Amino acid sequence: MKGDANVFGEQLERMALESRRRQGSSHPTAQRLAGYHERTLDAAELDEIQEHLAVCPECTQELLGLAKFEEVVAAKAAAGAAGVPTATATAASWQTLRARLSPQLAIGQAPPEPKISEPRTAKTPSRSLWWIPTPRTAVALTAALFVCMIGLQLWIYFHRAQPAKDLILVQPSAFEVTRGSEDPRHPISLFLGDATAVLSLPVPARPAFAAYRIEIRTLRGELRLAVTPGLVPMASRTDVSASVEEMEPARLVSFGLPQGSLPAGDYRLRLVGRQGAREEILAEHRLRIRTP
Amino acid sequence: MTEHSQESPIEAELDDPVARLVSQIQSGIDVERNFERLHQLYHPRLIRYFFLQGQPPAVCEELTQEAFLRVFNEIGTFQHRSKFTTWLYSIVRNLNLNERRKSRAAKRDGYEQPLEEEIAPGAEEPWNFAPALVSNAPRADEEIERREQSAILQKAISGLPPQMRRCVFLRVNQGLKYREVAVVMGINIDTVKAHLGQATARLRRELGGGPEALAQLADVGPGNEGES
Repeated sequence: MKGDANVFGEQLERMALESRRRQGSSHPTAQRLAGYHERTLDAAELDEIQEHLAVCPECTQELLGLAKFEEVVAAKAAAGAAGVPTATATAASWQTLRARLSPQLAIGQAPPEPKISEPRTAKTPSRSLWWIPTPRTAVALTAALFVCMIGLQLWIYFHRAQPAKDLILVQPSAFEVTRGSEDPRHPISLFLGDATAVLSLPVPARPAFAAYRIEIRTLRGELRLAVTPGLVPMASRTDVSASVEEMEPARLVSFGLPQGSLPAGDYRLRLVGRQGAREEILAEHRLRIRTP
Repeated sequence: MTEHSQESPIEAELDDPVARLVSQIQSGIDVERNFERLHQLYHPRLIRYFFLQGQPPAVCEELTQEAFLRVFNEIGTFQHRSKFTTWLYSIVRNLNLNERRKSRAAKRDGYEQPLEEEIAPGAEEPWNFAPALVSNAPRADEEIERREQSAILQKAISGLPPQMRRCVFLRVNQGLKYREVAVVMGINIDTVKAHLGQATARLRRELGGGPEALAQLADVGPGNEGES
């Protein structure tokens, strides 16, 4: 190839500029450069920094400066040589330095506290600081707390949407309204006398189902009665102190239980929601039927 | 003093006597005596370093004092992740650079007598129209040839093994001496010479003939005299 002597150098310059543009404007930190010099980095990092040095005169000069300093410091220069002070000069320098440091040296002979309070060995943490979490532990604890709070919020959201699963029992003959709960230890006692009793169950607003079924089963699970009543809207509350959730229009399913429809005994009353093939038990009450 | 015989686990791990000394100072063990030892060890070396950096003798002592003051005040930040010398260099380097800036600023602030001859009032300006009539832009055929050469060179250089290519960049692009290339690459100087010799041979073979340009790669350039 013909060409002047500058062609080769110019081409290398262009390639170096291109390489530096690819690497971006980031130079290795002084710590990484020291790690490169001392060969304490892993092979991939050494290779990365070497590639950078090949095209970055600034970092190269920085590294050469460090190497030069080490060379000078490592060499044992003879006293009296150019730039080497005599032992007397060193002793005098110490006296000056000692006088300048005397306030600090006088206070308990301790150097200033390190600005970076990092333990020098991770294996042997100080006993007096056991209660201070490490950064990793602090992050884990914060994350766990966050997850717990999210979980609690979700639990509150899904549970507050459901109205109390009360059973409302109306016995017209006695003009008695009974409210029961799901507690199996306290069954609702229903006297099936000469009139039809009306049972009503509030339907949870969420999740909504296409249809609802009321089942009455024996304690052993045998089905005795099943009805699919329509939904009846409940009157809205006017209590100004009620929260927004409480003021949501609730709905009821109601059905009549005529005299003689069930023999006396203990039963399970269930409210089942149906959505296609999916069925879900929404509420279950213990019912004790009494007959004349 | 019983404190002298006490050794923390980290001190026991430290083979380097300097690091051991520093560790004892950090732990507050006999600070004055240990710091005096550190001073005795490094004072002549720092003075010599500043001297070799071109600082006047009076300034060398001043800078060394300042360096030791900083070492004492900041020794707590040294975490033994690198050698003490490397950490010390970060202090010394900054002091040296600051001093150079200060002296440059002092020179700038001084009164300067312009060296250029002043044009006498009323004298005619030495107009020269000749440069304006000659274009420095390369001719079209020269530009095409230059681009072709550039593409061939780029391919040839990129084809070199990574370490060999980096040696070429450091030698030619940054103008380093063989010894400096060896320091930067962290390899032996003979390996550097071998890499550059092989690179020259490969490039000559691939580029055809002997480009004069490769002279700067293979020749013993300025500063390399005497390097065997």
